[in-house]
Amino acid sequence: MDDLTRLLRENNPFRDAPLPERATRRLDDIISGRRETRHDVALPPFRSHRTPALLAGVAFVVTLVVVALVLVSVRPQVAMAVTPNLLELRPTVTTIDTLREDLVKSPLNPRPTATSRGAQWEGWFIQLDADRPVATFIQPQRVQIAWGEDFSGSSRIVAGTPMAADGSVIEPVPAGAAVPGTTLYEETWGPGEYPVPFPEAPPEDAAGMRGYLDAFLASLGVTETGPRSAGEYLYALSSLMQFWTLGDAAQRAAIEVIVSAPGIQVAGETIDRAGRAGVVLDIAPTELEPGYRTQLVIDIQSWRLLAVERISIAGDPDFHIAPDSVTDYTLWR
Amino acid sequence: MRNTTIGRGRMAALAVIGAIALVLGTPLAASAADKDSDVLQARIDAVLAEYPGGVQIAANEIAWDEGAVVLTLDAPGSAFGVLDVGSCATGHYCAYNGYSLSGSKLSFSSCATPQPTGIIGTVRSVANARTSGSVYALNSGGGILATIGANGSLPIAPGGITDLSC
Repeated sequence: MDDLTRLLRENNPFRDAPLPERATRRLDDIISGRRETRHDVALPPFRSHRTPALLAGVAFVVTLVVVALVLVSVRPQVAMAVTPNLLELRPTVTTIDTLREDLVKSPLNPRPTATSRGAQWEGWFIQLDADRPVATFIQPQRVQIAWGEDFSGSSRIVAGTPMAADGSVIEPVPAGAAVPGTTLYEETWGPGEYPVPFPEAPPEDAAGMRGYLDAFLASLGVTETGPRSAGEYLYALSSLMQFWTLGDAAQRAAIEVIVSAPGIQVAGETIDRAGRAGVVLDIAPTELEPGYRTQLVIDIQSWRLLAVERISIAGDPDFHIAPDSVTDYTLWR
Repeated sequence: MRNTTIGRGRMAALAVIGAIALVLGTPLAASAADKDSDVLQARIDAVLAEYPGGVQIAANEIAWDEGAVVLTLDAPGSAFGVLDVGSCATGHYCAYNGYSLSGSKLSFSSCATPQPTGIIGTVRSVANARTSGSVYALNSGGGILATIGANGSLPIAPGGITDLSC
């Protein structure tokens, strides 16, 4: 019995006045020792003087998290740029080695088309503006280039049909898109104003074509530390095909140059965006465009170039381009 | 060089075109949906009302002073404006990854800092649709590879462009 208990027993304040029955029972219990005094009961753990500070810190952190979550949830979400879906690939038995062999073995087209000055292609090319939001549709274009020996030239670009990422047509024409068939712009350049970098007609044999493309790459200052890569040759070929329409023989020669170079592999078969069957060649990035991988689609029956697609490997958050997005594609008819 | 062409009296025509562009509430550029020839005729009428003495010599042309000055408006269906350069809108400067102002386009208006162009890959042509001041095509070391004057273009750019500045 401690001092407090003894004092309670000796100084019952209700000794001369009736207590409620419940209180009387409790008091009797305490005085008789049937009920433990408070200090005999297990006390809660010791609470240091640092507890309030700790609680305040926790509260502060929780508040910060809540505020951050609210800010994130109410901030306008910026949509990613709409870009075409990647080409769908199917497995193929074709390999880069069988392609090289077939190129040598297969007969030439008995009635080959001829190479001609000027070019035409269709495609979609991402349009970015540092001051404006990204487009929410894909609008292909048709580009026509003409030029003369006097280095005059003209270009005309015509709007195609607006599409969604999966290629489905968007109707009616969405806001911000041009009416299909509209001339988006055209330019003319007078004599001497259009210094075509490929003034001479391209060769029609692989060796000649390789040297021709090598000369162009050298003119750009692309160093040649080893064998030229397939990506470098494709870059040069894509440039060439903005000025010349290649005939069958020249196209076949160009394909031979590219598939003979390092940095290329067969990805599969596909139906391109013009509905044509072709073999897809994956081409590794080059120092010219290190952020991109490229897919070249070829017809291995006619040995013609069908399409090329560029894919941004890492994307670009500043322009809301997701990783592995097609940023442009070109179709040659 | 431009879709809006000028016959003779180049300076006078430029003055007329500039004045017209200011006077008309709407830009001379046809919108993408501007396909109706009535719209073109309305523009012709507006120009003639503002600058009497001209003679309409074609669906989209007006001549003054017996042909000394000829104004050719954009044909219906054209989507660019008098002061645009190719598809590069007035006041902007643009990099293209295709020659002849074709292909993917990257458009800027700020001259604050050199603007990197890597997002479109290789730059093959450049347009400067600003009304004054040059645009510079720079290499990775900051060297100037080409200079494009106001309202001008570089249809075939040299290799190695990594930034544009103005």
